[in-house]
Amino acid sequence: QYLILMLDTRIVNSGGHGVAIFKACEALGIQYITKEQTVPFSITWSRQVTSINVSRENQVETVKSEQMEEDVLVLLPVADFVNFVQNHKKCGSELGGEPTLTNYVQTVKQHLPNSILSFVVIGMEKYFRDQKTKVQRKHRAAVLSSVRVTPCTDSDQGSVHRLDVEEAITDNQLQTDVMVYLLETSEELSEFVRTFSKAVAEKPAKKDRLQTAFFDDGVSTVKVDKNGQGLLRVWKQQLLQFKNISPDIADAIVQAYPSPHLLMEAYRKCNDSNEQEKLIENIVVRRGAGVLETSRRVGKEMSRRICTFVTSSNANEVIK
Amino acid sequence: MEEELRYGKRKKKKIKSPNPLFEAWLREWKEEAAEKGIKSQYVYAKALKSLQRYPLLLTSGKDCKILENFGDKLCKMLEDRLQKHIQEHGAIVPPEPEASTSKAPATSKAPARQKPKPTQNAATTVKRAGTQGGGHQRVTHALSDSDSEGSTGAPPPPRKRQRSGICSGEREYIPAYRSGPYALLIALYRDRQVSQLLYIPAYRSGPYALLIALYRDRQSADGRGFMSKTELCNKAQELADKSFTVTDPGCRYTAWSSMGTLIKKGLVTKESSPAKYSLTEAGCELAHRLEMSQADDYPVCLIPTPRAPAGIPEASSQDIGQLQYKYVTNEGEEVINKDKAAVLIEDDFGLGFLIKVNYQKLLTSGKRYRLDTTRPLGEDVYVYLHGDDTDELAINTNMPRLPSLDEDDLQEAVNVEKPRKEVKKRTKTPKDVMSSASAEPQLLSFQSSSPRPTTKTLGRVHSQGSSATSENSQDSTESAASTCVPNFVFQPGEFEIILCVDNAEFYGSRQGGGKSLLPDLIKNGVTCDLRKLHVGDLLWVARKKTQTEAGVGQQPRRRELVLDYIVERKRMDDLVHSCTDGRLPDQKFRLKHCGLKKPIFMIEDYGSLQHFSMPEDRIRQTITNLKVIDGFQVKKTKNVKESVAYLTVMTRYLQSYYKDKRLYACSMDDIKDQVWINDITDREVRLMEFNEFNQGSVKSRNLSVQDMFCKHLSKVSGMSGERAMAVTQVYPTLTHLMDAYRSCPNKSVAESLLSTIKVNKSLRNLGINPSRLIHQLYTTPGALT
Repeated sequence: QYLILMLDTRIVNSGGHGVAIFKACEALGIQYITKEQTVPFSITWSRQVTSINVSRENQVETVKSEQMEEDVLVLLPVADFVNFVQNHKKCGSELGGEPTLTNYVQTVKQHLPNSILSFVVIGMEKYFRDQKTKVQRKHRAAVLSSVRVTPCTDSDQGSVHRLDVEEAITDNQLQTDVMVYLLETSEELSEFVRTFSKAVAEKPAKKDRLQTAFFDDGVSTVKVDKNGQGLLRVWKQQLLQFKNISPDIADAIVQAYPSPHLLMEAYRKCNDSNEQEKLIENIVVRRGAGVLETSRRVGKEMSRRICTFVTSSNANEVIK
Repeated sequence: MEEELRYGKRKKKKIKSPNPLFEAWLREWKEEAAEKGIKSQYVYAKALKSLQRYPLLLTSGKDCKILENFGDKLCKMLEDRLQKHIQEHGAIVPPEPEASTSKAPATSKAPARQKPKPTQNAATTVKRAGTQGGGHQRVTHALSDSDSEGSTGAPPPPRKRQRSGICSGEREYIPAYRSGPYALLIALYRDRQVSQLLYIPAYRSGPYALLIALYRDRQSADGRGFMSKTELCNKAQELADKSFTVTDPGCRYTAWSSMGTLIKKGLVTKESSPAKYSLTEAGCELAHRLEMSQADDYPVCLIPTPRAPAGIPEASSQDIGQLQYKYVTNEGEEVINKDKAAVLIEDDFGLGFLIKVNYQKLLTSGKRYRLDTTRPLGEDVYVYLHGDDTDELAINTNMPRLPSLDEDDLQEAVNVEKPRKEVKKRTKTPKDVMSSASAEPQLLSFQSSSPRPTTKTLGRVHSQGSSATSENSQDSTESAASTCVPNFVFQPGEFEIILCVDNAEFYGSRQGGGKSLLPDLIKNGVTCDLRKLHVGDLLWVARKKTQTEAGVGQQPRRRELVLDYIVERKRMDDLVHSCTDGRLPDQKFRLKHCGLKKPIFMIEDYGSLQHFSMPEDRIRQTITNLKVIDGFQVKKTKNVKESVAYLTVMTRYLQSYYKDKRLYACSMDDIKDQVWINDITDREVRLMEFNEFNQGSVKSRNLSVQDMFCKHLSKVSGMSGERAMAVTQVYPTLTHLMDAYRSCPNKSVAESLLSTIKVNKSLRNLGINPSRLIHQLYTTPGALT
């Protein structure tokens, strides 16, 4: 793989997550370097691209260049995150005040234009837990002393509630389209970085998959061996692509016309389009087995659809 | 007799561990081993654990063999120790109160009987010693400090001993011996201390809620003094964070389970059937204390107060937040250093420094100032800013530095360097840019010198900087008209934002058990509407408010516009399921192409990741791929509650952001073609109508013949969606292909007909195998196999 992961030195030095990330990289087999980055605590990827240039003397030269990937991961220390959330909470309507998460994200965006950012905060749960134990301790103390203590709601500005966090993140998402992920441990982070790196690595190959994914509806292709064993199943699968067609109906049609060719021949032998439309209308479909067996016909609708498909030469005709 | 009776009673209550001696020894050995760093400490620890779990008495070391983690060696050690102990103490004082009664029946009965009292007393002695003169601390210290036997074992002053009156004739009982009875006593004492610690349920926990609920019921006038389970659950629920009826995934207990504890602790009694629960005296007291200490309750938790998000949205997003200004010297020169600035001193104002600043922003900043009327006034004004409100340097660094970084000495160099960079940048940018404070990336601004809209009416953040639309965006209405003719317009305030929930999301949930979001959303006060959505699970619409409620009859269908956000909710098990049965690509495709620009996957945890039919890391990879490769926004939530919270917050913020917007209705095609993305700060937004949107995204839409052919081809092995597309580019229908086959001179040509078709990007040939296979499929005259 031609990917290099670049880690901000600060992640290694003060974040303490360096080792975990290195391990993740090793597991993936991609290179990593620690390097000072413009945005603190950021992780970026760059890809080695070899392009072939034909120079003026008709000499082919391969140029290796490094290309920054657009995905960027930025870690955010909990303390700062909490700070941002507080500011967001306080900020409310008035504009002045300290930077909020959104401000920060926007400045980062300015430094890294054209990149897709994701933010990660590690250890938020732990923060909540600490807060909770603090509250519990106070609660306990309050009960024990049975003195009416000032209610230990968040009169102390220091703490942040889940809801505040949620609001800050959501507001940020709306404004900047950047999501903040909350992770707990280094392991989770390394796992995240691992999957992220892998996804970045595979991105060029898979980027356009959603353009055509429309044609895959889950049932993958049917295996066919050299002698053509299995083609019948392919034919049945193809029939199943039509709207509202059940395996039973498909089976019935396949039985009557065990190959597309036979069906096409049958259509050709018809005298007019009216006859064509009705060709397979009366094929009997059996459902169930034994006493419960019922039978019905393929039906007009289906017959017409299949007919349109087989006989039409107008690519844009809609199969109704 | 009396004494014996009491003894029996006490013993029952007090003795938690039936084999305290053995435990003490094991603990001692463990500590010794731990000190020396020998592995055997773990052996002891394990043995200790299993011993603690064993409820019955063990009379000899050998008996321990029946327990887990006890080997021959350990049993022997215990046996030896016991013998030694009996030798040392057994003669003088009965070895150890409980231990000896049970453990060493070999010792005489009489001492065994007498024993209880002494021990009890001994314990109190030690305790008293502790309370009296800090001796307790010393003692504990000694206990942990195992090596110095002689010194620690130093008997306390006789005075105390006498007072306590334990030593009925014996030389001394106070443990001369460091660990044996001494440690035991302390252990027992501590144990008792622990049990004496008051039971106080944690704040907003199950028992807390139950107690308070019972207490309040009892206090209230119409209380009957007891409550039934359902009553109690209903009342207590709002006092607890955990549910009384639904279990967390991976846990069999609800908050109700704590009732058992309360009953066991004698705080609550349960009577008759159906059960009636009432507080005991102790319970009442505890509840009272709880209630008193927490008189003001938190606001009931999950109803988010709609916090007006940053009043004027576009300003908040553009503004870094701080007032930006420059100091001005007496000579009118602009500097950044406060020391050089012109100074004003007045009695009623105090000390002021001359600055140049945007007047509007100054007003909003709320800082104290005095206008300098001697200098020219304009959009930027010269004012004396009050000394207390000024900063040393008039730079507001662009990159808000993370406080934690500042603490980091290692990074000093970086920090110093960074602001400097910023200063440079700042000087480069023209001053009016600063004053108009546009959100524009400053780096970009001098890279592309294209004129940017100053008024942010329809100014969009152009992803690729496509200048075609940006030129128009100066005049908002015109540009809107030029790109697409709006069908109708919603003026600000004419509409409301509503969350639409898919039918299936709600009804499908019945068997899923508590999966649905709707009830909780309604509880949170979100305006929801249940309807059939063909794509996604949740989305937001702007609906025209009805002017008159009087129009009871058949109102014309209210017009609705779909906002850009659409949420596909996936609980982890759904996700895995749709991965394995292959629905996921289809869902992604439809979500991506539904015409809404901000598709969001909301992934909800459901129990542990490990118990699904897919390996853990593949699930994770799938989720990350959603984000990185497919470009969806991914929101992770831990449970239904968080999902609901997210949606609630989202709705609130959308409501307040869209409050002041003017919405244009456009057709779906126009929207799909538009390059730019509606920015949240725009005043005017183009959206599509709900009906059009929903019909356009019907799942089983009728396909064209070509599409169907493509689908058919993709079923052949060796083909993929991409390859099938390539084929249908050349032969759009089955008829076309058959004609082509027919015109082939011979079979081998026909077989390789498709092999040279170029597949999309890579421009690779389709290859002979698929080509031959397709040929075989469609031209075999007889039956296929």
